[in-house]
Amino acid sequence: MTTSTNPGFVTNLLQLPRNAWRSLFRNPLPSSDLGRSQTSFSNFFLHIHPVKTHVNTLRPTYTLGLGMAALSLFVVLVITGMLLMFYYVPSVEQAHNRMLDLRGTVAFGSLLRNMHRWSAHGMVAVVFLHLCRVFFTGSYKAPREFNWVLGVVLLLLTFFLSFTGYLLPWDQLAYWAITVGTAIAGYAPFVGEQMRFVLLGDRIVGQEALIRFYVLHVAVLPAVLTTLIAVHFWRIRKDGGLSRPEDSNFPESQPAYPQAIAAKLEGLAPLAKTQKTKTFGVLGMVRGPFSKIGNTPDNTVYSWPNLFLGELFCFAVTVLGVLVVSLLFAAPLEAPADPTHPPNPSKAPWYFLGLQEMVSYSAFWGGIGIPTLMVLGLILLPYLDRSPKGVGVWFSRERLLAVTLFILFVLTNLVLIIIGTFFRGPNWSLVLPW
Amino acid sequence: MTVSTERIQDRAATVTRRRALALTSVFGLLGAGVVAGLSNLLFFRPRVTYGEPSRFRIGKPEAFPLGTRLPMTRQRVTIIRTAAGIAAISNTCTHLGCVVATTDVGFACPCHGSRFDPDGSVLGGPAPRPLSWFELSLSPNGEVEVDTSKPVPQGSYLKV
Amino acid sequence: MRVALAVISVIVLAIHGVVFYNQLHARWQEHQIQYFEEAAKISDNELVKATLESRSPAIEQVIVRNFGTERVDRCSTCHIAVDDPRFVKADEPLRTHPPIPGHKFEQFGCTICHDGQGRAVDAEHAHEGGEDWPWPLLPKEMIEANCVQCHTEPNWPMAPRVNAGYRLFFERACYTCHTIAGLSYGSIGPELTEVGRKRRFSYVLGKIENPRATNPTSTMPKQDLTPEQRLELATFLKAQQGGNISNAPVEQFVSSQQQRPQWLPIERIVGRTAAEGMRTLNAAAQGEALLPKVGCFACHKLDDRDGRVGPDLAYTNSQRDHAWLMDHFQNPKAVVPGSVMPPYPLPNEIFNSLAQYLLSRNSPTIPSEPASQFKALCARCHGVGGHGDGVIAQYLDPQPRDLTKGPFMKTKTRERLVDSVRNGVPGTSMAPWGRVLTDDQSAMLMDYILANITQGGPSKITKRQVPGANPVQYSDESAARGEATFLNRCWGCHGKKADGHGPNADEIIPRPRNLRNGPFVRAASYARLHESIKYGVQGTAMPAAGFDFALDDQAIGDVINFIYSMNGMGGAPPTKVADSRKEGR
Repeated sequence: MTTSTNPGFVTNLLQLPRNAWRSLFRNPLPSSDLGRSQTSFSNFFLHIHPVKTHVNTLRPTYTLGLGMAALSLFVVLVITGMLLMFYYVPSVEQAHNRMLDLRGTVAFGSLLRNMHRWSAHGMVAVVFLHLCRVFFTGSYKAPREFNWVLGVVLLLLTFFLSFTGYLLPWDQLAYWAITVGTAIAGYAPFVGEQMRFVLLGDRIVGQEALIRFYVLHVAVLPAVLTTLIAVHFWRIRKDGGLSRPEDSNFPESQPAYPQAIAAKLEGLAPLAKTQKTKTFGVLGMVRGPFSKIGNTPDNTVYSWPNLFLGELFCFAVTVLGVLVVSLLFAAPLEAPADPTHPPNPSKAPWYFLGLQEMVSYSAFWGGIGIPTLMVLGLILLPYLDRSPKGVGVWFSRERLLAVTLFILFVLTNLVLIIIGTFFRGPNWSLVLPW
Repeated sequence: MTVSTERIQDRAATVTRRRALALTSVFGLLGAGVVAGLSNLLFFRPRVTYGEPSRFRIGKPEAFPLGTRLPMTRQRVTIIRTAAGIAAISNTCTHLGCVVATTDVGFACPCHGSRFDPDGSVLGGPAPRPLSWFELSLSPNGEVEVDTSKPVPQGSYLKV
Repeated sequence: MRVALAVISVIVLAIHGVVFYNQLHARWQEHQIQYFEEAAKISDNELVKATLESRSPAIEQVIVRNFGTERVDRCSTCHIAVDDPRFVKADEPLRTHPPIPGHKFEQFGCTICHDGQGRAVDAEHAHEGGEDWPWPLLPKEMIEANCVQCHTEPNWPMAPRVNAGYRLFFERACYTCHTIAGLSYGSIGPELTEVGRKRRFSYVLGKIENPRATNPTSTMPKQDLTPEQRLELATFLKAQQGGNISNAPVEQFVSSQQQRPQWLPIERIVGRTAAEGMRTLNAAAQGEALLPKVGCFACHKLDDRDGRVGPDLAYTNSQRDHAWLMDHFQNPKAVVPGSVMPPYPLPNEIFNSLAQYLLSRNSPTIPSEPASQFKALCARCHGVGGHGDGVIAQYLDPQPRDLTKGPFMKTKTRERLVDSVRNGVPGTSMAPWGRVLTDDQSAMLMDYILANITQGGPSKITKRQVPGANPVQYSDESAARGEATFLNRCWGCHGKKADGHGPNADEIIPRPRNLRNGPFVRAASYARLHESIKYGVQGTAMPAAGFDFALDDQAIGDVINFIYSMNGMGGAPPTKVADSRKEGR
């Protein structure tokens, strides 16, 4: 029976594709400001983004895209990791054989494994670089203290994820790196040995350690990391978006594109240069990747397409980088783990080599004391440095002391890692790498 | 009026009753959460392990004549016999847990170059502590038993 | 940014396409396609041809579960023609495998004989295995080592190299230092029960050829072997994989439980027929027959055979007596603590036979000229030029004296030097040549050395003030004081345990003396020890502690009491370890 609201069965059938499409994608690709706004709050995947983004946030030289690169690497890791899980078995008898099969017979197996490995190393490095960027732009200061602490926790979780994954190939490299790494943890006073026993499930690395590390690596830690990443993004919104220089909020006082806007103002009456309210005069065409039409006095642009374009670009560059590296360099796979034959020397994963180098001088201070102080220092940083100066600018002169100290901190760690990687040979003696 | 007075009293009673119920619920659930958390600690701590047992028998004392320095690879101990008796020295390097090799002058660790004298004292390298000595006992059937979960001071022999 | 994004997107797409294409065109697929085409071309049977033409490339694998741990062998993925008899002359990988009756590939796979990495499907990983794969493809000559894992009958004729290697293992005295469960017991070198499974064969070959290549302080003697002999020994060791697959569980269990035996049955070392034949001989003849078989020539020299590791045995009949030889056989380190000679796991009667033989020999003729005497008697240890770098010097501890060092030779009295030659130096490898040379000959030899070999040094010896006996009576307190001084001044070179292995010792030639060398300390006169400490030992790194460290005679006496206490002398409780191997033989 046809009515105005129910067109009739045949019509329904003919219109099915169109109606189905429309029920899925309710808003067409935006062509107006209203449409652009709607992308940010009617789409599930996009609705954590603000409707408008400050231009400073989008400047490539401001963030270097490091946070997005870290997220992209995490996405690559989750996808490749899930795929690898279909062929890997966490048993001491089978693990190494499965790795051989992944390299030999699984279609795209070696590519996926390489991508997973290099993304993992990349993520540790990029997350740390992101931390450096946040520090150098003073973006940990109020009101972003808690987000900074969250970030430090995310850094530690990243280390732990990489560490637990390091064991899974069950080759000589994996086995002895984890033996060495967990032994460093055992140096903690009172609880060190207990913690090591609970982590490994036995006194030495074996099947128990393998299954525990596997569960941590594929289930527990990714769940925790995903949750905290979500909170990390939420906090960005609540803290008012990414940091920016205070005087960049209004274009007239601190123009984002000084030459262009100065040229703009040149043609106006001298009085106009001091105007702080929105002008409705005709503005000239200005170069640059972001649309200037619709600029409001607060120097923001619509997230669609500007922010999403930037994020997609970061993701694409990251994926390209991972692909190229994975095709050029094969991830290592050494002989099957042999608990009776440690290699000489035995090295922890590269991000722990700085610790191992320090441990060779003092077991407690190198392995526990100094790292704990470093982490504590990082966590307490925004509560100890309450000066609001220099936020939103790289290497601000007003923060000379803080910036210098941090650079020293980064360089020291880098030097220690370089020594541990290249300058330590058999019996941990000093060798020249050339 | 009596009705309104009663209502007010009822309401007051309801409020405190609600409060009491809320507190009870909080106490119950929060308490359960705390107990669950503690239970997790117990859960994760293994009560049995599947590697080499920490207590094992090595044989009758006669099987280890004077001068023996026998490394037992699987159990990660070296059995020594001197005039003072039998002893068991750990083969696990105290630096970062590698297996030390037995040399003619003691022990040497291949991972980072720690060197130990025949008693396990550190001669060089990054090892922070000497090699552990383990407790030995004589079991009723006459065999010597080693317990690697019980370290004893250096130089403690089982007099047989 | 839009342009850059577009470019990157196209590149990513291109990469995906290339990778996808490569997955479908792996090297093994090309090999298989080539085989299908060639085999189809030379087929005259229509059925066979049809089968080949309808086949498409697929990974071929054999899963072997009946022989030890599970193996997955994918070798026939590339070597697709192994069982096609028409490809005998083809190039690898499409060549036919020589027929091995009774060994079907579907049951045995490939790696059980050839080693290699069965799971790989590309040549590099399948053959070499990548980084440190412990089982790279075996050379053809060594495959028999894997055969004997199942064919366990002793002296199996199809494994000639394994058998030859077994004989070499005993002839070259490997059995005295290395344990192979069920075969030998030795606690000096690493256990070799599973060496075929745990080490690459190239590593084992390298170790046999040059023991010090990977470990500069190894005491494993470098054996003079032909390349063929090295291969035989390496094949034998490759066959040691810790329990043969075919051994009954009981046998495997029993041999894995083997504890240290007192001695090995002589049949195992020389073979049953030889052992039976020897029992009919008298002791000296037995010794002569046994000497080359039990491994003496791995190190020692006698007549025209020379292992170039140990001393020349030709003078034993003069220099040593029966008691000394028996002591030395039973525990070489008790006589010369720095000796690299292991305690041979042989019964006393064998030692007796060997001793009888050595003592019954005729003494070789001694050359008359000191120069020739030096070359014949001294150069083996002290070197042709007397630098202490003789053929066997690197295996001797303490090292042979560098006789060219004038500061040393010229500051010792002639009596002392001649005495060393005549009576030897107990606790070292310096033998008593006074039993081979007359007194005059010894003196003339020393004069020759001082005149022609020693260089430099002071022209006359200044008189040294050294007490003839210890000014300090031995007591525990004195030893404790001496220990304190020792730990203050001496341990850097002599080591915390006074065994000569201090942290500085690696860089000092000659090495600091092992002060726990009981035979040496007991035979040295007090005056000699006191002089060495007070005035130092010129020509070595030993400083004049009396002057440099301001140690007076009392303090030196305390230190010497401490040294005595470590060697069971002077009232201190004896620390000399009694050797139970002497009992019950």
